[in-house]
Amino acid sequence: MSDRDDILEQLSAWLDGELSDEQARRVEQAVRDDPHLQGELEALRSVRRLVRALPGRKAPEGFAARVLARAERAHLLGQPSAMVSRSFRWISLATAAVVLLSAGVVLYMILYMVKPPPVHEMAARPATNKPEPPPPAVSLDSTVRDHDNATRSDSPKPSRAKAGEKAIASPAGRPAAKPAAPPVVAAARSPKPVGDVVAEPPAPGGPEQMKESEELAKAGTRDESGRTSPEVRRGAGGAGAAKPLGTGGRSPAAPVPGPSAPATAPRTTAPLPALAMKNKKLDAEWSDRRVSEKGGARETRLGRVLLHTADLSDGRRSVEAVLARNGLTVVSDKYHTGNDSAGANVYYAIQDPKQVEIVAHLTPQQVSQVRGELDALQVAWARPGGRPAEQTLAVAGAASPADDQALARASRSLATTRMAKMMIAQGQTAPAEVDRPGPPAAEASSVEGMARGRVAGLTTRPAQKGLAPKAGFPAKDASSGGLMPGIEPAAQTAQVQADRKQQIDVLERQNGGATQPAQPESSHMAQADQMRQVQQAAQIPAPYTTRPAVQLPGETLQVQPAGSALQSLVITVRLYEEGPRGLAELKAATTAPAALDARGKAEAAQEAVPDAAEKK
Amino acid sequence: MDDAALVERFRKGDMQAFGLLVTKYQDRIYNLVMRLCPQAADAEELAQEAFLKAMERIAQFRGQSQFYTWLFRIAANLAISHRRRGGRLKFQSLTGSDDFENTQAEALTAALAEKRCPSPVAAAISSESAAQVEQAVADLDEEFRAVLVLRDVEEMDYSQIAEVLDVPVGTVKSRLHRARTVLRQNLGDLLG
Repeated sequence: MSDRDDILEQLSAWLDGELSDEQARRVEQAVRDDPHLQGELEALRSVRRLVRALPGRKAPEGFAARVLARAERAHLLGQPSAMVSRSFRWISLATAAVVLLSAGVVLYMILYMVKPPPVHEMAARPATNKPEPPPPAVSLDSTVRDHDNATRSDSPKPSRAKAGEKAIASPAGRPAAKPAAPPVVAAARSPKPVGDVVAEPPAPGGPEQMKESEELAKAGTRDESGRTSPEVRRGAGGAGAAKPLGTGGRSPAAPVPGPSAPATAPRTTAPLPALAMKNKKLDAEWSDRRVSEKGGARETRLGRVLLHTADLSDGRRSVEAVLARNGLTVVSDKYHTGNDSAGANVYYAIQDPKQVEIVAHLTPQQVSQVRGELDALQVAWARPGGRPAEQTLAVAGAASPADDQALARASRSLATTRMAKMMIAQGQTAPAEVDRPGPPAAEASSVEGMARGRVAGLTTRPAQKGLAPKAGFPAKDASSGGLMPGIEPAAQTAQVQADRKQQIDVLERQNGGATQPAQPESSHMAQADQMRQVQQAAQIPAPYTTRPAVQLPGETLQVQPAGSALQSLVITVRLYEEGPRGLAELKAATTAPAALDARGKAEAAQEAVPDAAEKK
Repeated sequence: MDDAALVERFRKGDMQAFGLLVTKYQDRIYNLVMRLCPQAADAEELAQEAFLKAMERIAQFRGQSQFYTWLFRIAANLAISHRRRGGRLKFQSLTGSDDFENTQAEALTAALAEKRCPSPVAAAISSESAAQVEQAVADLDEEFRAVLVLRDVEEMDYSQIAEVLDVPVGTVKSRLHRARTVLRQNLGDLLG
């Protein structure tokens, strides 16, 4: 390169003042002596001036708000936490390890202290002495998830997922679930269609992204499959059946569980830390004992459940089914405060094109159950191929008490999990920042009683009495007895009974044989005591160190008699309709660690991370 | 409040601090992305994604460089990657902005944003000329365009540009000279 070329290349840097003194002097000398270089310099200066004169683009209106909304969403979905210091992360990891270890011990006790005999022995024994079958895998998952929900919020996903899977698959070194008793979770991931309800399991080993559009398409057709309504499925067991708004009185039936998923279906039994963290954060935002007083009514917001669904209508009906099962009746499509909330047995649904907000006024006795079912709903949705959690909850329907008992037994493990959670929570001291006394002995016993009640009669919750909707609101169609209008009641009842029979059959198969009688209450209480002892021995931190995500009955709030100014409990369910990518993110939250790692590496390869600059 | 303090607060879980950082740099990041990736719809998504990436990776930021340099690097890499993929990258649609920090962030915009007033030259340039220059910049190869934008739009010095693009300073120097030379040829009419 000649001197002139060298000087030419330095001209831009000289313009920008980026040359050393010596280089600058050399360039200046050359420019003074060479008219051509002077022209070049002037041209470059003009170019720079033009570029600098370009008008700056301002971010669109509301940009910051949208970023923050996405940040919240990303954070809630459990993407890498930006708000956790490394030290706290280590503390969280250590806490998670302790909790998982104790969870494994607890699971071992649940599983093997009431170890089921072989199937042929079960059939031979008298019904009253039959031991418990091993709880369906979903309960194990739920147990771990509940512990996650309670104590872990910030641990990295891969390690947590691995630990969770380990705890599930091989508690205390025992082998994982046998093929003869496929986990209910697998069925939840691959619900078998009943009638023309469709939701097929993901193809073995197939790319999840490729399956996604198919699943969404199927979800979109699910509405047309002609389901039975929650009114039907609740049947005589419940007053206050839901009548969803805007759906012409039609509401969905829970999908009936199909046979176990094929062995090649992806195992996603890891807990969902992202979802647990999400709801915990929402609780933190909402369960701050905010009390609004309007129209003489007081309400305390317990928590907000954020659900994501591929199909807003379908998702809404599933939520309404949960509420209906718990005796909640829709009364309005607008939110109200005032005397109408005296019912405490109502909910409101407010819908716009992209989301539904359902405000449910609950009694203390309803909160834990509703909350647990909504969590399970989200978990089931989030799984690849997953659909509503009614499969695992296995509740609903007008049927004989014997059928209800069978379903209750199939659901017992879930109830046991909830009971254990309640017992653990009961054993905690009241959060420091919440100025309230711990539950007195009488209330504690009522908690246990409630837990026992759930175990014994999960599906036969009596209707809330004396909590009729306020006059003027559209009450449920009492004349129809909870059946869908326009459809022959006998046909609906027959359909429901057929569905329930199939549910029971499936659950029996999953339990490895004939359904077993309910475990004696004393056994449940003994388990709870053992769990509490283990938890205390391990000095596990309080599940909710600041405020409980689940308001336990008798803990703080009292529902006042109807007719007076009411202090009611509120859960807001906000349903977001997700596009394919949103659904993919939710599914990613349940993807195996290896897949997460692979995805992360792929992203890292595409986008240079700013580490290098930092390392400099 | 300076960036370091805001970053420290954010690391401790203060989302308000993150909101302040977003508000402070939203225009500059958006402007940068727009110059690197002129499709407006993509630019907003990319700019948002840049902030989200920064949020996710804040633990990796060790404070040895300026926060905005680090942030710009994220944005530049996203925009360049996006352009290389031919704009095929699709981000999720927003499902409602909710009310999260909305009012607060908007209220702080005017107070905290480092808005630069348009220069007299900018005011003088006609819209037709500006469009011509913008097109000429957009037609540059991405490696030249990125250097030019960071220098003449963002007014970064060469070392900062080198840090953002992860290239040696000498490369910055040569690319910038090359970019201006090409622009000079393509803007001959405007330059007279």
